[in-house]
Amino acid sequence: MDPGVRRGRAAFLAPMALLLALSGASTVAAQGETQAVVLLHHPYDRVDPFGIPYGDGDTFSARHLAVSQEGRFDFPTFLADGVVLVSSLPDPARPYIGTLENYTDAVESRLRSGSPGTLHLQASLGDDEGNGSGNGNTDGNGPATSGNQAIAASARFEPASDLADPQGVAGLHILAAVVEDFIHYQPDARISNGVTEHRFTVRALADLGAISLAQSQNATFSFPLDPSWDVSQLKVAAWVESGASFGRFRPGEAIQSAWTPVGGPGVVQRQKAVLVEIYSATWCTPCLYGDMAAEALAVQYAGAAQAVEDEGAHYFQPPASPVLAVAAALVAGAAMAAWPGRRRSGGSAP
Amino acid sequence: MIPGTILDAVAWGAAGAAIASAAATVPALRNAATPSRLAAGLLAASTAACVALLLFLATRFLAADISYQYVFFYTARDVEWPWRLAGTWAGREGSLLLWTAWLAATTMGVTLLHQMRRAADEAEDRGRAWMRFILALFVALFLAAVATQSAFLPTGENLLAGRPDGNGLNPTLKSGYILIHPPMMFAAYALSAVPLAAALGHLASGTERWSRVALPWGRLGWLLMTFSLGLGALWAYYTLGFGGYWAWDPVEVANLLPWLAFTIYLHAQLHHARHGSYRSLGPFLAALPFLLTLFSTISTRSGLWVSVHAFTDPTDTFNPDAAARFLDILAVEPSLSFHVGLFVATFATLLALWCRRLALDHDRLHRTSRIVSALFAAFAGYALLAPASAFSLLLEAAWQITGGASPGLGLLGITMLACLLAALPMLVGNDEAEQKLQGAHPAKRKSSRAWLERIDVRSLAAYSVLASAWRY
Repeated sequence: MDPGVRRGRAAFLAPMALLLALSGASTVAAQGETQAVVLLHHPYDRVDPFGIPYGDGDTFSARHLAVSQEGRFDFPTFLADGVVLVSSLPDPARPYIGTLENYTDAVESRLRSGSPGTLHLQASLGDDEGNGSGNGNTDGNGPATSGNQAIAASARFEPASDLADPQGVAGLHILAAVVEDFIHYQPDARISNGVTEHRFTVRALADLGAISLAQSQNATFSFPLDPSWDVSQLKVAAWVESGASFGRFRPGEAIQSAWTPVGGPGVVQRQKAVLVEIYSATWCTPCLYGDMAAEALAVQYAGAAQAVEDEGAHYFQPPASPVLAVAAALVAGAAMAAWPGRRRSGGSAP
Repeated sequence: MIPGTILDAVAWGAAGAAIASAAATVPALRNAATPSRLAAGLLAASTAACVALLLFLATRFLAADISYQYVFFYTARDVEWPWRLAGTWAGREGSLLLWTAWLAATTMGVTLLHQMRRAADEAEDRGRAWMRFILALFVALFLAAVATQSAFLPTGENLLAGRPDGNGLNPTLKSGYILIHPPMMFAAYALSAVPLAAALGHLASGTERWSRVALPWGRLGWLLMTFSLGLGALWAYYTLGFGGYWAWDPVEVANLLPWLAFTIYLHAQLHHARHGSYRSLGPFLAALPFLLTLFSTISTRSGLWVSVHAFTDPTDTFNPDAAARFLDILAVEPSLSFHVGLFVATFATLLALWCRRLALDHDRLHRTSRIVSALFAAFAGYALLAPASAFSLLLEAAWQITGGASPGLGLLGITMLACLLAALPMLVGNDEAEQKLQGAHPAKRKSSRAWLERIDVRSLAAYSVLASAWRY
């Protein structure tokens, strides 16, 4: 082949390869994109072990009290993007399917609202070198110090071109939460709704403060790592929330959200992702169905894994004391076999 | 605060006394004697201890003594006293204790009646002795379950810190009906054990007159269950807003089944007295009310099905597979495990004795029925000590039979097969022994209505059960 042609091909292929590599890198980020972010909040009542204090209440009721219809929330309560509310079980006659249908409808309706911008999110595990309070800042500085491990994350929101708020009237905030998946917990049966693998449980939550749409900024924050958390199951979720009525957005509306595993490649969330928040309690019976519906939503819209079931084990469970049980069976069987029969006696009257 | 271990020890002691009472009744099984003083005294001690435990629990509820975990879960300090009292039977442990107390009191009543009234003949005396023997064993089993599940555990500090005044009672339970409906229903449940005990005694010994000694108690049980179902319907209508008097709720249907079984049993016994029919099937029908009360309790208390009666939390991991979900429940609920074990063991014992009795009476398949009986008895022994494992074995077999399609349907098939297997000596052929048995009641042959009435009752039974199962 003519060397000139070779050079020409090389000159063409090298930029193409670079372009492919770059597009591949962006594909990695796009792989983390989801259509929803699912969070399960628990009440801080000291009976439910997953409740954490936040403001004057817990991570759900303290932030959303204005949305509630009676000044309080039933269990379970579903909230999509902070504005579409589904209280309790919408159809008690079909507790699971009815709930899932309502939740799905809410997510679909929010997805139709379209993406207001791109949310970049990254989370990693590192040494907690700073205040370790879980408070964020938007000044671009990294986490500060204390010597323990912490979850460090950074989020950045790039508004779409049709979204402009030069006056800052929207009062947009970035909030972030640490979420743990598959927490195994089984309380006493009388205060249990039966759920033993608790999913997408909010472990920490922080308001990272206001952001400006005019100037894209990194919000960085750190959450101290609790030793009881399973790092492999941790995710960081972040969302942008409107503080006031602004354009098509309502007060308290989550306009864009994203989540990413701690230590993962991060996510660049371009398409609309709905923030699904469910207020659940380990002692609340109907929450069984809310939790199940949340899991189904997360599998369908948020790329979550389905709880794996052991296909090999069917039903048989060996007894706790096999020797005793088998001995009892043998004795009872032998006694019956050895028992001499006796015909009816005493006449036939009843 | 009396430590729970001491109170559990009282329950164990009462169970021991009931077993000793049963042992003291053994000579009467052969000699057809009236109840011995020793047997009656031991049973009285056992009954007194059980009733004392129930009263103690009730006083703890009335005093809102939330240092006991069970009291904590079902009442609070700001709850009015009637609903505090009702909390005694609002949960699994309390309702089992109430049921046990009624059962012990019924057994004591049976014993006292047998002491006061002389039997018509030796056969009736033997039937009575068997009834007392089996009832005492049941009381012992129930008391052992009460001791095992322990209603008197101390409340955890975290619970007290979270709810310092107690968890409270479900608001929908705060109705006057709760003071009458559950105790009356549990009394009916306890009374349903009498026909079962009499029938088992008859199957084991071959003694006649079993129906006569059990019938009055069966009638009382039917009456109480009828009233109780009626009160439940009123409660549903006036208080709970379940959507009318009857909502075809799983638990309502589960409670209707023993009532239907009671009705069928009483009807069959009437036919037996008049026409001699139901000689072979009668004992089986007599056992059904008690078995179905156990089934009803399992339905009410397990939370397996979504029900307006689900006043206690389900304990399962939500598994779409109901069979697996039920096994999950058994793993965390010892009291429910007891009910399941008792259900399976009693049913297997009934089939074992029934098969053996049919073979003896019909002069057929002696060797085969002995083997079948031994297998049923072995399974009963296994179920009594390892209830969850025994039930899981049945489910596994059902799963294998249906190729994983429907364990529930498979379970129904296994039950029907077991019944057919036990009934083989009755079903195979027709011989002289059969004619002899039927010939004892010439009225049956002469009556032109007998055949029609038999069809009527069987159709009623079949259609009722099928209709209920379908709505279920």
